[in-house]
Amino acid sequence: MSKGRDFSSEREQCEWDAQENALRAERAGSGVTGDANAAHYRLIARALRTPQLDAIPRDFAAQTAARALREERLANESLEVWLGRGLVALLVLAGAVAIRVYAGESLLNLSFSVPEGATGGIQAVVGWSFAVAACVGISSVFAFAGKR
Amino acid sequence: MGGGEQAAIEADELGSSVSPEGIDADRVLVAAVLAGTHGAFETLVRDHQRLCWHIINRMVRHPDDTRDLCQDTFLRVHRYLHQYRFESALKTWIGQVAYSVARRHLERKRIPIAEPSGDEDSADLVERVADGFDLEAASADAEMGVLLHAEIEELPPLQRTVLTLYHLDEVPIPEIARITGLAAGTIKSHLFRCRARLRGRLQARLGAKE
Repeated sequence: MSKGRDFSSEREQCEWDAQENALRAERAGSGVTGDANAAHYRLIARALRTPQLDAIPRDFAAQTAARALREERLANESLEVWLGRGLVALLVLAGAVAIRVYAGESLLNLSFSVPEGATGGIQAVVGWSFAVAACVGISSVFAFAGKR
Repeated sequence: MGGGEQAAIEADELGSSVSPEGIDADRVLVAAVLAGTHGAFETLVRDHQRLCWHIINRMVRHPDDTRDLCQDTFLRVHRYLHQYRFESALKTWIGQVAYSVARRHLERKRIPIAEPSGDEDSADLVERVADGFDLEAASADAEMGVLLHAEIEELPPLQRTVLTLYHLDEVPIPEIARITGLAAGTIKSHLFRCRARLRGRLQARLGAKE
């Protein structure tokens, strides 16, 4: 509580002192004096100490804490996802660089001719590869939808 | 120099009412929240929700907005608690966040938070408040309480908040200045002018009744 003299006029300073005295008396719960100013300001101090505020919801703290933790977890998860993507990109890049450096010439010279009678086997391998890729894709979609 | 002495000096320099025990308690609680201790953040919210609620409710007045903005305040506190440097009491720091959240909300809605300064000379306010009226009748009249609450609601958001922090939450003027980012002299001036104005309105109503 301020007790300094910050008002230029004596009347304002007296008014301030009356306001502060009323506040102190109201906090202390002391009786109303016969002074006009004090009684006036006691009423005001009482009204200001009993404002018409909306009540805090009973479970506000628990709800807020739960939401904060949920947001923190989501933020961490998205960080993990981005880290994972970064690592995959790095892996692909490293693979491309390795192929270019160590096997660039050899790859260009490779012949992809298919031996006679092996066509059926290759078709089976390609078919099963698509099936595996579809399974992985569907699982990923369901996992992603579950997280959302 | 011991930690308690240092904390006492820090509190004294801040001009706040925070005791060394209060600062130590803040440090313990903040450390627990940052360490992810179960229930620590809920404790922090429970300890400071009253002040936060009062600031925001006084500023915006709408109960749903108050709840949302109050929650937003604590989510920000949770997100940025690692940046809190104990330069002021935790209560004051949270109060600052609450005040800035509420102020931004009002600015978005283009609601002025304070009336322009100097529109009413404080000397005039004092002059208008005459001395002669029936005080005992006023004290006994509960209707005056209703009138005063209505008049308080009519005050601009900043003035309502300053009065509530000072009278209800008993926050000292230097701390209110920190929370609102205004000078202590400005806070004192708001308090003085608002209370003088309320007294003027009270007296005018009593005069009209008689």
